[in-house]
Amino acid sequence: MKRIELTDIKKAYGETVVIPKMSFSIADGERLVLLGPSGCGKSTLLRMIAGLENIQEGVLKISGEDVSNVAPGQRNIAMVFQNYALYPHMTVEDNITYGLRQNKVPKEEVEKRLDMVLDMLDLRVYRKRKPKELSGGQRQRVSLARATVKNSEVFLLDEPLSNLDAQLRVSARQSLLDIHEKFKQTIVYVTHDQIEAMTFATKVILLNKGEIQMYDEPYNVYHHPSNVFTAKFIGSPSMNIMEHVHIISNFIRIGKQRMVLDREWRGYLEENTNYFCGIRPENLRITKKKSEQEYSQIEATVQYIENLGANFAVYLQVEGSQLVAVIKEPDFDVNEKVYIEFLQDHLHFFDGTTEKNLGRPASLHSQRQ
Amino acid sequence: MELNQREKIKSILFLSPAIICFVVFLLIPMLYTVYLSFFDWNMIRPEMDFVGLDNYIKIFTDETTYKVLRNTFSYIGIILITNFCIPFVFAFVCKFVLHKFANFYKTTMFMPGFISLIVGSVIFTWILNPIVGPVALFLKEFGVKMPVWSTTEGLVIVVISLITSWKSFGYNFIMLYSAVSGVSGEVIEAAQLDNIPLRKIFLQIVAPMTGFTSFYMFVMTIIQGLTYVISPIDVLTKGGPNYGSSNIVYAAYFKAFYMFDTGGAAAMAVITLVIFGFGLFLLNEVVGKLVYYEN
Repeated sequence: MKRIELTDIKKAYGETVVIPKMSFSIADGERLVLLGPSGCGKSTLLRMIAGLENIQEGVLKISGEDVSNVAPGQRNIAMVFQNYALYPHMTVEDNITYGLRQNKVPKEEVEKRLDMVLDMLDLRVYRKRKPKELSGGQRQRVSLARATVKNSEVFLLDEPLSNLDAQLRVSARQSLLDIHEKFKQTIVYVTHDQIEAMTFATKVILLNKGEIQMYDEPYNVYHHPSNVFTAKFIGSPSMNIMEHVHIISNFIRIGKQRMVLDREWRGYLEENTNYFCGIRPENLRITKKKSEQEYSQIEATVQYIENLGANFAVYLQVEGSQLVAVIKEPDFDVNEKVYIEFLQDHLHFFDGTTEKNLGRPASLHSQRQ
Repeated sequence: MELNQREKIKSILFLSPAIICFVVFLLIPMLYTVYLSFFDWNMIRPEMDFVGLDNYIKIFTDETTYKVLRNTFSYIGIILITNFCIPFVFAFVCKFVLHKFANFYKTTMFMPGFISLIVGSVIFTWILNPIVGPVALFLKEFGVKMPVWSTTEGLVIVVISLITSWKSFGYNFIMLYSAVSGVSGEVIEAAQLDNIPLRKIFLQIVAPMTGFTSFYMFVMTIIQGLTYVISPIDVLTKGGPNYGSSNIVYAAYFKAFYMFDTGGAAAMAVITLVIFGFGLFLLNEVVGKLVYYEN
């Protein structure tokens, strides 16, 4: 019912094309995160859904109705802005209820909704204060409250947590999830922060240069990235991508070194083809001593070691390119020669030209549906 | 103690240029005006006759004083509309409603500010000349006879107000535009999403949020309406017809420099000072308290 559908949407500012042509739809009650680096068009997309940017070409439907040319105020959309956009001369209470009062919602109803949201977001004690007397986190909650009282079926958020510190983000995220749990709105959430995307989304759209790179559940975006861009963008430290990897009989050849390919992968890939080979830092194993088993490892030099707190990130030099491994505790030093092994279940092969993920053999665990 | 003394001298030294200017050019002339208002003098005669409150009594019993005072408020009223309300709305429209040509409008509206008001008045005497001026010729094409505005009571005030606002409109517009630009675009968008009509966005969000500057501009416009009009009055009508276009400041000027009634002029200046000093004090007390200050 509260489905959002975009068909052949296009947006350009003069000569600069922001979104060449895009179509997708968002299911009822979904928590969709639009994720991407800055300038990828995610905010533009959100603002087009809100009606704050006009849609040059294509059709936008909300709940089955074409709203491409409907004024923002008529779309019944609630939105939370990056800088909260509170009315600085109004109290918290007035900020929350201003829109309702102006739209002639009956007084008792306004009071009821205000009461509910004040309790829900823990704002009751601040109701008579002005925004400047509140902290960042409190302002954020006020802007959430203001959006919530509208009872809109579509809830848009433009980097709502980017001005908060790490701890406040966690609690604000929780408030958001509570709101969604209660009202089941269709949420579109824009962020460049992958942690927010992973923790909050039921679906993620990863954008780059105005094009959808992947549209899937967060789990699949992480574990089964559709292409090299997705693989590199999601995860920190990001996935190791080795270029010019070849398969020769039962070996993977990386530069001058080679490694035996697991049985599952054999026959899945073509020989003498140029691949990108990806593996996440946590799927590398490092040993100081060379394994007895021949060709199970490749040689590397430790460049430097970063302390991440719970883990260590080890930067390795392999055949002129850099690989990162995340391990519990290093038992080696910088500049030492070590041996690395890949957990081949977690290997990804991408086409050497299109950079698309070539998938994996059926015998290995596949995508979650 | 000694250090304190030195600090004191230092601070007096630093303040002295400003204090000297203030005293020599503002305070002494002001007090001297008050002093002059009790005398009958024509600026040339060596002796000044003390007449007590006679000058004030003469002014308050003179019918024209009330006429001139009414004119004064008419000027202020018109100029508040043309030079405060309209540029305020224009600023809002240029910033948040128009998406094209906003820069063109901004530049165009500021341009008359570069031209002296005296020159502007001379240009307008030609443009608005009721017989040979382009406006009159244009109206004639449609069979409309242009009234001789400079001798028509009421109309003359409107025309002079418009000429005055033509000059200072741009400055007021730019000031208000910069205030309006201080309102975050997100706030306006939030209001748009809440289905608030533009009229209310302006009155209930932009106006209070820019209260600090707009209140200042409101007061400045009153002062413009009081004082700026005297140049066009002097060039165009000399206060005529029958004081129909004179305002209180021009009336004082006229008394002093055309009638050489220095005492009367001084008394009128003192009355102006009292009325507007008190008015602005009241305004600040009442409206100033409502103004929203960002910090």
